[in-house]
Order: sequence, then structure tokens, then C-alpha cells
Amino acid sequence: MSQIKDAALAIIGAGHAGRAAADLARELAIETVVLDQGHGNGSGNGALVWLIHGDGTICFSRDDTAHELTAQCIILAPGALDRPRLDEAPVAGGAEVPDIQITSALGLEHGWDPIQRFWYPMCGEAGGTSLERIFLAGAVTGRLGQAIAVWQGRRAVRAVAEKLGHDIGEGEQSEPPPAELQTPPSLDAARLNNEQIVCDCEGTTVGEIRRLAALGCDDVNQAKAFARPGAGECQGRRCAVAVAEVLAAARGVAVAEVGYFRQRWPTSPVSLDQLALFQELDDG
Amino acid sequence: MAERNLFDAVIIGGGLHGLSTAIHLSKAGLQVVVLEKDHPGRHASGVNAGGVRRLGRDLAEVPLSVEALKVWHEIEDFVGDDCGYTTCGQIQIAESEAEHEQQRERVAKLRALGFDHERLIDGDEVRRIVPALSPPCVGAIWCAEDGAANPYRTTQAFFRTARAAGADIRLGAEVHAIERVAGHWRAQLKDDALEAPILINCAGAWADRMCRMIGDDAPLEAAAPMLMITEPVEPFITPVLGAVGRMLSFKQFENGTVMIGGGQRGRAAREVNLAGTRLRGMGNSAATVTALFPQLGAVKVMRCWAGIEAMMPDAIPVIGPSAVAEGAYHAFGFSGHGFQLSPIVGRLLCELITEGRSSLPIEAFSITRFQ
Repeated sequence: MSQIKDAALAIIGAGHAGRAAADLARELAIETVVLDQGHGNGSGNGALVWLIHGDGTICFSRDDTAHELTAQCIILAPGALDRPRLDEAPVAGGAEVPDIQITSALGLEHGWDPIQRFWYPMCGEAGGTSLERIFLAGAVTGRLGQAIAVWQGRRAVRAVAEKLGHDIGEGEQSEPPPAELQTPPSLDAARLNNEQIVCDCEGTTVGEIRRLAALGCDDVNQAKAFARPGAGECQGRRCAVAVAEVLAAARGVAVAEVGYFRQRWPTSPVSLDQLALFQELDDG
Repeated sequence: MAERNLFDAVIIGGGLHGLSTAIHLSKAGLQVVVLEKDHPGRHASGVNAGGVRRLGRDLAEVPLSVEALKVWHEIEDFVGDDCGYTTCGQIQIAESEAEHEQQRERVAKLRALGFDHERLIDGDEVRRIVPALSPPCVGAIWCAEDGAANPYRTTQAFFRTARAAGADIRLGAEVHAIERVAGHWRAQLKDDALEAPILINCAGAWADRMCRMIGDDAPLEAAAPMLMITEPVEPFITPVLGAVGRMLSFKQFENGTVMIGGGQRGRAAREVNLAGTRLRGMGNSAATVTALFPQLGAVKVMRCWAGIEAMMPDAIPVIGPSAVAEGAYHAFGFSGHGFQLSPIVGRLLCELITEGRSSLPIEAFSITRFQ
């Protein structure tokens, strides 16, 4: 268990938003740590983040060593995931959904975007959230596209700098570039057949979700407790939207009413050896 | 009757104890309404290790636990579903002579009371039952007839059975106030009110609030025990395993996944109805498991969770009539081990309500012990 020197700013995720944020933080001489597990764009550093606290504590491991650091502010930029395909209809434009595992585990409030058909965490224009140390940037906010991600990353750093009392001068006053609005064809949940698998990890079918709805099952977390969708390896990353849409259709209510999966740390699989590294941790 | 929102009994809490009580009372012919603020299994009933354990119980709980196991062995007769129950045995290992001596005293005490379900075994027999166990083991207590079930499947089966028996189960029905009106209890919801001469408090970690509304007092602590479940691995252990000197409850399911519990606590935020995990506690559980089974070090934990449970200062539940209010009863505070008792607690409350006495001794669980 190592206590890493505390940082003014921690950036989680090194995609477009995270990298833009890190670049500006460096220019502004804000002491910054970037954590990214490193698959995908090659800019990661192998840091596996297991827990983030609203008070700025981050627990992560790298090369089989456990670390804990406290940051005065955190910018979360976990990005987006591919939208899973449930029916056979081709997905024309708009195949991404925000990766809300971390924001859900932090207990932030999320909204449902009925046009782009996904859940996104609520934040202000500068990325500020209901947790004063936590800021969001990039596709996780539900605003997709590289230009807006870069703008949001920089905007969040300026908000952090201001909060930390750095003199950033006039700064940039630019308007945000437009996000790429995706309009995926709506999933005709009512027409899916009962045998269709809705959660690949656990093999939960559309029919099981409908049966639960008939039993009085109101939200996706209740469905998860009873029929396990979202309880498997991907922890609902892939099926969260589809489960919500099928349940909402079966109940005849808006998707916003059935909610999103409640996540708990750690939000991705962790080996017992890695987890045991944290036994001496003082996380109150 | 139901149209006028007048019932024979109002049960607050749709967890296993509330549902068990609803099943028994409904079968006895009473019109019952169950008020559940979330959904069945939202907290303790759904978030537990599913242990069907007589082993190591407080002596006051032993008669209830022994009777409950008989129901578990025929659980399909009770709720029309096998609840994932298996008689896999429960074992508590001793890693030192001192620990094994404690076990000898325990088993002798039970014998003196006429119970022989806990059996002392030596290190050789432990290795025969759990060959995968790594550290040397002096001996164990072995309950071959104990077992484990699937909590969410159990909760669902109790829910279905209670409904089928005629109980009116209201989900999302949070009780804001309880009043005494013309010899009846009135439970006030946000936009409805239900009345009955009998009120039963099975509200789990929220039961102390119900107590205060009727004039009882219970020193309940809301805690959030955590559980973890691994990816599937080759079958290597059959019984549920615990240890005298470690916080551990360990069980491999038929699908190969391993559930790890044992009472490490997460964060309980009762005000916002949420339970969170703590990395240190999970780290401790992981270290305990890898000390006993080093071969599992690379196995991945897929999911961790926590639910809010009521803990009493003496770690045994409150079961029985109110200390002060007529027609009011309690069953809460199971302190992390109420799952196995659920079939029997409903039966005892039903006996108390319909016959005025319980067929098993429940004096030790009286709420008056806190006054």
C-alpha cells in the first residue's frame, strides 16, 4: 500500500477530453496526475482505478502495487462505449453511449436523453457536479465528438484552476463547439421476441424482463436483483440501456422512470490478490 | 373490506420476515396488507450470503433455527420453489488448539441443552471435507445438514407465495406515520392510509422508526454488510466455510462462482436508502480468502455489493409483542443472520396473533430487554 503524493488535480481517462485537460493543466502549472488503464488509444499508463470518493480520494493499482492519493479536484473523462445491438436493425449513426459506471458509483444524478437514447450524468457547463471536487468532461457527459471533448476538457481545467485560486488571466471565452447529435433508430422494444437475449453476460432474456414487469417490478435495479441483467462481467456497461428500454416498454412508462443500474466500487473485475493489496487502507 | 382500506393486519416491511408473516397469516384466513417502501429484497433480504445455518447461533436462537431448518429441507412445500436451497453442510474451522477448545465448550453447552446438530471433528476429517484448504487445521464444528440458498430467488418465491395466499402487497409504499384511531392502527402513506387492528413491524433497518411511532424504543444500528462474488472457477469446495478466528463466510455455487462475505461492513446511508462498499473491508476479506486458499489469488471478483441491515447491541433480534402498544408486534434486528430464520419467525408471529402464544421460546427476543 503506497501513499502517493497528493495532487492538485487528478484526471481519470486519457482520451480526447482527458488529454486536452492534461495539456492545459501543464500549461497552467497545476500539479496533475493522469490515470488511464491504457487500452485503446495507447496513451494510458496502466493505472486501474478501483474507488473514487467524493472527498477526492482515489484508490488504484499499477504493476501490482496499491496506491492511494488525494486530489483537490478530479476531472472524470471515462468516455463512451459502443452501443450494443439488440435487434437486427442496422444502427445508422449514433452507436455510442456514455460510460456511466464511475459516475453512477459516485452517486451523481443522471438524466435520460430520449433522442440519443442513453443515460448521462448531470453537470454544469464547466463540468461541475453535485460533488464540489468532481468535474466531468468528454463523451461521458452525453455530448459526443472530439471538438466538444477537447473544449470540455479545457473548460473543466479552467474551472478547477479558478477553484484552486490559480491566476489564469482572461482565459478563453469561446462558445462550446456543437456536439455530434446521434439519433439511433428507436428500439422497438415491444416487438422484440421473448427469447431475445438482453444481457449477454448473464443470458437474461426479453421474456424474463417482461415477466418481472408483470410481477410489479418497477426499476432496473429490482430487475437486476431478480433476473441478474447487469450483474455479470461487464456490470451492465453493455445492457443498461437495452434493459431499461425493454422494461419501460413492458410497463408502458417512459424510460426515465425505470432508472439505471446502481454501481458500487470497484466497478470492474478485480483479482483477489489485487483487492488484498488494499486491506490496510484507511477509507473511513 | 379491502375497499375501505381496512384489513385484519398491516405488515410494515416486505422483506423475508414480513412476507413469511404475510404467508402464515393469510393461510390462517386473515386479510393482510404488506407495505414495502422499495421492493422485496432491496436491502437485507436480498443482500445476504444465503446461509442456511444453525452452526454457531446464539443459544436463544437455536430452537428457532432447528425448527426453521426443517422447513428449509422441504422449502418447496412452503413457497412452491426450491429457492436454490442445497444441503451442502456448514463448517467452522479452528486454526489453533485454543480455538478448538472454544468449539469443544460450545458443543458441550449445546449438548447440555439437548441439541446435537453441531459435531466436533478433527483435522483429518476437515481435510476430507475441504481438501482444498491450505493452512493446517486443528479441527472444526461440522453441521452436515445445514446448507445455503439463493437470496433473491428465495425473496421472489416468498413474494409470489404471499400474493397467491391473498396478501395485498404494496410496493413503493413508505409509511410516514402510524396513528391509533378508534381501536385500530392506521398506517399513513404519502397518498393513502391503511387500517387494521393488528400492526406488525418487520421494517428491518428502519424498524426503530416504526417503534418510535407506536411508543416502543429499540437501540438499532443500521449497518451495511458487504458481499463479493467471483468469476466461475472449477468446483473445489462443497460446504459453506467459516472460521473461529476470521470474519468469513465462503460458499461456492453450482455455477462455479464463489460468494465471499463474513460481516465486513460498507457504508450505510439510511437517509438516502443507499449502501456503499469500502475497499479496506473488501481487501480484508480478499486477504482472508487467499490465506486459506492461496490458489484463488488470480481469481477475479466480479461484483461487490452491500445492503442495509439492522444490528442490535446484543446481536439477536426483536421478536414478539410491543412493550407498550396493544395489537402491535415486532420482528426485526436480525443482526446479519435472519435469512435462515425467516420461515419460522412468520409462523411464530402468526401463532402469537391468532392463538396468543408461541410454540417456541421467544422471551429472550422481547423488546422489553431494552427498557
